[in-house]
Amino acid sequence: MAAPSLRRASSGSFRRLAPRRRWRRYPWYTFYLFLAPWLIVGFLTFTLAPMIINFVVSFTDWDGFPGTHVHWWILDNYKNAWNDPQWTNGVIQSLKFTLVTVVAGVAGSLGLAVFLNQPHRGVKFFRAIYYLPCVVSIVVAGAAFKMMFATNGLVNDVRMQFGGDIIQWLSGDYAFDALITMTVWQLGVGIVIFLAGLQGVSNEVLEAAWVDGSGKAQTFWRITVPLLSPVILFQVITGMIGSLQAYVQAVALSPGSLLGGGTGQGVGINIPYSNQLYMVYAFHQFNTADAFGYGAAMLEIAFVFMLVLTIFIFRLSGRFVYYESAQGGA
Amino acid sequence: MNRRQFLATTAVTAAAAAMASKLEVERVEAEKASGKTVVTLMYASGDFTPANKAEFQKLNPDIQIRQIDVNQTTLNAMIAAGSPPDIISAHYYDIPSFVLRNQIQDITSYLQKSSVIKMSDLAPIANAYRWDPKKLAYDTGSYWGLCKDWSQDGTMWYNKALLSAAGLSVPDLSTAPNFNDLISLGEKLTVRQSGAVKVFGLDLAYDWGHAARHFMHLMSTMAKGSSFYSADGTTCDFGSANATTVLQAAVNWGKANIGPGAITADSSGCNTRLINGRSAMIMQGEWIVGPLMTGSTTGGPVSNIADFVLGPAPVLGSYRVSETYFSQGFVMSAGSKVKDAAWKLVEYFFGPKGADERAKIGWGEPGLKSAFQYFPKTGAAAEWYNSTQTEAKYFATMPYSPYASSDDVNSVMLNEIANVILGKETLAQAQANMTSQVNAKLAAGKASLLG
Repeated sequence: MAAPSLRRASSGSFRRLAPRRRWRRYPWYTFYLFLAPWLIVGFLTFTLAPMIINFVVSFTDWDGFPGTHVHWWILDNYKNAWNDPQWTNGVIQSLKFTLVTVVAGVAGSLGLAVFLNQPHRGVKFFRAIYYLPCVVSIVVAGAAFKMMFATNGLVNDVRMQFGGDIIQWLSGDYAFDALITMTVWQLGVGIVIFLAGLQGVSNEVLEAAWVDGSGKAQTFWRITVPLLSPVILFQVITGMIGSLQAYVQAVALSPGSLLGGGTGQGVGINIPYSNQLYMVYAFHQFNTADAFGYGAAMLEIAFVFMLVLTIFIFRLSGRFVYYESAQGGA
Repeated sequence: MNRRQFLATTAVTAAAAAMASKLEVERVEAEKASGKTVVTLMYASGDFTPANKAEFQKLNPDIQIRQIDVNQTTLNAMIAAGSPPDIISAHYYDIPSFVLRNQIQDITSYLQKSSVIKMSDLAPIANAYRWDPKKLAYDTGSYWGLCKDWSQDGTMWYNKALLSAAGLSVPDLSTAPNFNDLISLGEKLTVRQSGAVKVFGLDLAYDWGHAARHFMHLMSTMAKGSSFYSADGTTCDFGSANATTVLQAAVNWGKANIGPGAITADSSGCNTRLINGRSAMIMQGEWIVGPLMTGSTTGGPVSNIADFVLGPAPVLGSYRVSETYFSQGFVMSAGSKVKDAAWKLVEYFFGPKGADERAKIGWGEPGLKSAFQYFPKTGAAAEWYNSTQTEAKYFATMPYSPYASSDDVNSVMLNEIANVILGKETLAQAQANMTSQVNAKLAAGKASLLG
């Protein structure tokens, strides 16, 4: 039994408190009972079961309808992907999208976090302003950016003010630039995470560096960044996974209605080819092409790729990430 | 908040969530228990309006309508879950895949017994909802649905005022114009400012997914029976001489940037663009009569209604045809447990009462012959009616394949044509890609549907 605690009363004297309750007084299964809703409903029903079903469906030609002939094609869905130019386009565009948004996102949010970590007047106002885009839904952001990038939108107006020509931002290759811009605009979450990381950097370390004659830039690159490296790793991995799974952004920015309209529309009708990211094409298999097997195979390929990439980055991180506790730090 | 408060709050929240779902189940059960038959209808609320719903339920107090807006994802999920809607919005090209999947009800016996919808009153479009799964052919066999309204979707709309302003006149309406001539005319009509298109010369309703179907229509005009698909729909060839002519015309139109497409995006809708003077010529079909008559896209009467002229669908070859690309209709789920009640809804909405009301405002061409008499025929509409009657002589359905989703094939076509327009690949490469991709889809679809 723990020693009783002492607390200072308002009169200034100390008095003894009753021992604090401990979890051990509860039956052993209490923990599992509390865990059960997430485990059964959240994990088993909505995570593990769909993963297993998707894996099985990826080896069939199921069209999504009950009662149709289902054939086991073993690896046919996977083989067909290699010969599908739209699949290849989805892979290339998603990789380009991920590279640009992760690099720009991490670098941009780190830079802004450094700026917002300074004790300037009004810095709290700017912190709120930079976080604001993150509370805007992607659909709403898509509608706003569509208006801005429209032929007669704000971006072209500004270009024309400076003597430029009108650019068709929502079609052709320029649509990819508009998509990147819209995605990187929502840097706020990264800024908040980096701010928390920056504020965890010990002032004593920074002062010691200053005393040793280190300049600002040198201190940042040689001390702050290594100390922030676990946070950077987290941002890179989560950013990479999020970007590889991007879908709503491309659809929200497409010239047509969000999920199709008119007579029913496939992915090529309103989403420019440059914005047909991997997940956009995968969703098309389920929504339009009645190719659930092929779509499931695409998702399995994406899952394995992301898993391998994440493991690779973790393995690589041993060279570039500094963990204070591993080094015997505080 | 201490631990006890947290646990109490969590318990209350969980109970509320459980109660909400229980209440929903109880509501549905209560509806059933009240003696009313619930018919689930998947139809756009702009078509089957709240007023329609209220009127039907007043006329049939023992039937309650549960309406769901049209959404392919929702429909797929409901079918996969084994609880599809009783009545589903459908185009005629949906029929074969539904039939081969045993998803829809043969309604021939209902039609034969109906005292409201007479088989003799069905317009020729009704044959597009007949499909024989043994012959794999339209226009024969059982009726699997009915048409609500339709249009010959390749017909041309001209804005006389814009043509006059450019010193041009409307093409001769007694003959089908050549598509290449329309491209030349469109280039003269297109107004550009600072590199942007202010007025489109030839609009193919790209943002509504019609452009690829227009190109399929042009392929049909190359010769009788001409199509990208083989006669049995199991293979395709986008590399034939006829196909090359059509696809080259498509690329020429796209590169000219005289309509929304791969170069210039526009999501305002072709009806709006025509009525607002943003498009001088549109290939869209008689559907625009409805917005012109009702002012639904302008929020009020269209003041310059006399400026709009309806003309024949263009051709590229020597065979004149004017297809309906999709039509709007319905099918009844084979698994419906309330088929008789659902049929009453069909008789109300797709029967003479509904057809007559829609015909009066020109909302597409009616699915019943008797409703044609109510089609607007005064003022500007008189000319549109005459054009419609002339064009009807060339009526046909589009030669789709039942083995691939037409929207999916459209997507492939538009992606590849866009790549050629933007200079990313040659036409020959695009033709090869289209042929291999669509053939793969056809093979997979055939295996899935026929075993």
